[in-house]
Amino acid sequence: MKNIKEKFDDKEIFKLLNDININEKEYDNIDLEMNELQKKKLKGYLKKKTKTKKYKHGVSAAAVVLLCMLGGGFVNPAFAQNIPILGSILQSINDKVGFHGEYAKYSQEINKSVFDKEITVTITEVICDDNTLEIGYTIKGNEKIKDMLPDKNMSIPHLQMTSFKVNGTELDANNGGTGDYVDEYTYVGSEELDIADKHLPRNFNFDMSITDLGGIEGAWNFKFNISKDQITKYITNFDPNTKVDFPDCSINISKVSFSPINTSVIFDGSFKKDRTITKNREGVMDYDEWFVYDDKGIQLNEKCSSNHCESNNFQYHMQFAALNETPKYLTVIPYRLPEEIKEHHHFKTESKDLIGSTYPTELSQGKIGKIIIKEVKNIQNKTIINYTAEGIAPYFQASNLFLRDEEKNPIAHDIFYIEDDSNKPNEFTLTFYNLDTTKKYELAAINLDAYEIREDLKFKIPLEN
Amino acid sequence: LIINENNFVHQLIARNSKSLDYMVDNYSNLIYKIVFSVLSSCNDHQCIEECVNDIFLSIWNNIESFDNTKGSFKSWIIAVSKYKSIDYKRKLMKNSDIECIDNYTLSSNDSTESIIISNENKNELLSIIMEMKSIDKQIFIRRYFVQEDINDIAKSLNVTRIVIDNRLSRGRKFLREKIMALKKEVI
Repeated sequence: MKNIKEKFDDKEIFKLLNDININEKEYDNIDLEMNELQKKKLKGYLKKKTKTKKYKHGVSAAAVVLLCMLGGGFVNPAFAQNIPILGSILQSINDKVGFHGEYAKYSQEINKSVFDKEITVTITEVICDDNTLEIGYTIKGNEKIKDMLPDKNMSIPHLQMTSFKVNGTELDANNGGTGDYVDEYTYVGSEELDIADKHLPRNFNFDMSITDLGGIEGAWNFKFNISKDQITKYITNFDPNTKVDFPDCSINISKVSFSPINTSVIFDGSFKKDRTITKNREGVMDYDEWFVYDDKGIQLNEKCSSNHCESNNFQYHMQFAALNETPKYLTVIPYRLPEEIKEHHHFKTESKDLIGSTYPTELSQGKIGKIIIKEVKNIQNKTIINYTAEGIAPYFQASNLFLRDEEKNPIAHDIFYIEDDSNKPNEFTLTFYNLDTTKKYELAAINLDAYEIREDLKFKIPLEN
Repeated sequence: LIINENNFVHQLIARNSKSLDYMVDNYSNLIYKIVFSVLSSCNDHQCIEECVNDIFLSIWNNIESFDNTKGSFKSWIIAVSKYKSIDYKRKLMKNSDIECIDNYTLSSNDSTESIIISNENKNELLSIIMEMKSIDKQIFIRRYFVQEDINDIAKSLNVTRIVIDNRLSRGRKFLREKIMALKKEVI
């Protein structure tokens, strides 16, 4: 039994509030205003909360979504044992999630530090191609970072309220980031800006001011030059202008770009007038998840996608891992997990004991295909699982294999490695550190039959200039 | 597209983020005043800002609940802000030992006044509320959903407290009878 109010959610209560006659002048005589800084902070907060950039860092992000739906908690590794503070942070972070890309080769070293509020922020390096700008950084606390964060629910010193300037002009770009603790006092991260529509010059002055690290307010301001000279000659751009018709919208693929760190697919589109908007899908197209393949039929590893919608028109920028060769065309198969399933669906799994099973062994993922576990090795404190994925979407399938303990709690992996040899596509490795040897674990593959894979909407993007 | 007072609600519905900036520029002072008047006694500036943040975000998330045939956007967001800040204050008091010099009656010990319901269908309840006479409905929503203080409701409607008490009692009776008629149980 509940109090009447608790039975209703905001949406319903807000509807009832239309029926109240309010005296609109009630507050006119109160002399109180938000100052400009408060308004700026509010705008920044809303921008962060409402932007629709989705990060899919390899297996981790994609699997977290699924694992949560399986009802298990997600156990984070204590520290990222494989991220060095020396060397390229951007390379390490991207390698860890299987993105490869020549980060170390094309990164520009910055190494500038600012100390405030007992915290040293160091911008270690930066890399910029035509569509993304990635910044590598470390945060070092004089105390344990988690203890310094004012909000105890927050565990990471997110770069909040960070503003960027290019040649003195504010850069209004979608940004997002990832990172890991290397110890309790040190966090290393990468912040990525989507600059696809910003047309930045080849060389520019860059200003970055951080005013909030996970709730710790301060001032960490940086100024440095960024040059795209090195990388530019290795970028290939195409303007395919491929028009595709979807059930709810029409799109035009305006640009496909290959750089040593990224593959970008950029398109714009408009919604059809008779479109029915499903819950949580305002401003986004129904099929904005794509399996993309190169001209040899090898699936591209999706990194993240960001989109922007204004009225009936929208733009998308989808990013995939860098390719070793520029293909002659790309093939796309759209798919989605229907919204009505997302909330309630319990994914079935097929599992095998980690120890005691004979390898190779197969785990079915439903109609989409299967996972073949080739080998499980224990080297010192590491447990390494080598496997392949066979089926329509190997990367996607590979990200839907996980390890769980006897209580069915998923265990977070420490490294997800994708074989970078084009002769060995679709070979993957999951590495776990320090598994408790007294516990029984099992490898579980998620049944992906709930996904709607629209082969009937398949299309090709020819790449010729 | 330039966002102005004529198109910004439509642009909020269309998920145009520029319309949020417009809303901040034009309504943040009003919302801030409302939140401040409810939460100022808590003496915590941070929670006022957090609550303002939350109100803006929930307007963005629930903009389709606004019905422009029933009233102005301004009057709706005043109601939303009152509701959210009183709710925020209630949660704040529940979770902490912050002492508030209370201007609002946040929970009533008077058992005849609280409405506890079991498993009635939400839509049925809503339709019963919508059947109430306009003034009764209004007082009922302000008291039981927004959780406004009875004296404040009386003051804003320019009537005495007794009038509000009577109308609330009538509203509860109406609800009880209607639910009984639906063969559901009211405790």
